[in-house]
Amino acid sequence: MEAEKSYFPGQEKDEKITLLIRKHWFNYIIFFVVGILGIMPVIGITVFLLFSSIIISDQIYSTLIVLGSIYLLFLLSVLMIGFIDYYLDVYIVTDRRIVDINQLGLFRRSISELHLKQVQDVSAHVNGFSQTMLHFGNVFIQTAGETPNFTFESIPHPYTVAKQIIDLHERQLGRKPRKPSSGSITPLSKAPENPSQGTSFEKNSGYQKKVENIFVAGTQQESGKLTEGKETELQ
Amino acid sequence: MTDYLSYLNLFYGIVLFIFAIFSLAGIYHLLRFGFPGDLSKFIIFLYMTISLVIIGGSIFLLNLGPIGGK
Repeated sequence: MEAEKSYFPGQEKDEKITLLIRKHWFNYIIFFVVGILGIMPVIGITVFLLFSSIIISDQIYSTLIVLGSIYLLFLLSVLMIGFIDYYLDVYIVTDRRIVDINQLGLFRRSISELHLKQVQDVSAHVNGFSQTMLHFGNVFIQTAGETPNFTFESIPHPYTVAKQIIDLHERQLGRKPRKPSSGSITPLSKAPENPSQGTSFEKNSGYQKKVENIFVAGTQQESGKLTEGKETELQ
Repeated sequence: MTDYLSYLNLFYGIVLFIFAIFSLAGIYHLLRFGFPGDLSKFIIFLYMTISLVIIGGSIFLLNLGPIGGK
């Protein structure tokens, strides 16, 4: 039987992962663009040589093949480093703490954590056209004392994540999480004029399914547990 | 001319060796720090497939010789 993998160093056995968040897919578009633009010159040169009547010597031919191959492998390496840099940046929220895993290139990795009791304020910010349309943004977590603040950058559904963190914080303090009276969730970054109304985005019936996409890691069983736990808060 | 091609092949061999070391480091990172059920394994598979196609294709073309004739 495979041993259960811990999600971060120092994870306690009975510590439950509540949220595992990666950056929104929009952040990965740059790799696609770099890949497409990078491969263009190779395609251009190949097509030119195939359809032109230029006769090249063995020496030039071999040099072109070797240089072309090295260029493509270099491009692939750059894309791989970029992917690792982005994809291994993970934010984890457990029932006790918040963990920020930051991967910088191949050989630098930092992990910082914050106890939920130290959370003072959580705010979600969605700025600009792309973030508004694709539902992603930043979540700022203000901490007590000299502990550095946390920022979750470009994550999907920032309002929900902020709400989840607030609820977990309340639970840590032994308080009952606040339940919206009408079943809707109010955005945390800006207080609405009528708190019972919420926003149309939050009231969307398909919203619950979208929220489940946040839990990108873990087995089916784990994500099932998380969803079950959430239903009471979101409905 | 044979000398030139030998040096070129040697140079290519060294580059491939460095690339292999880098690839191992990258794959190690994804296996070590990826989470179950995420994209890590798919990306490793994709990366290895593309690398092998590029390297295999280049070796094949080097053996094939110039398409337009010498």
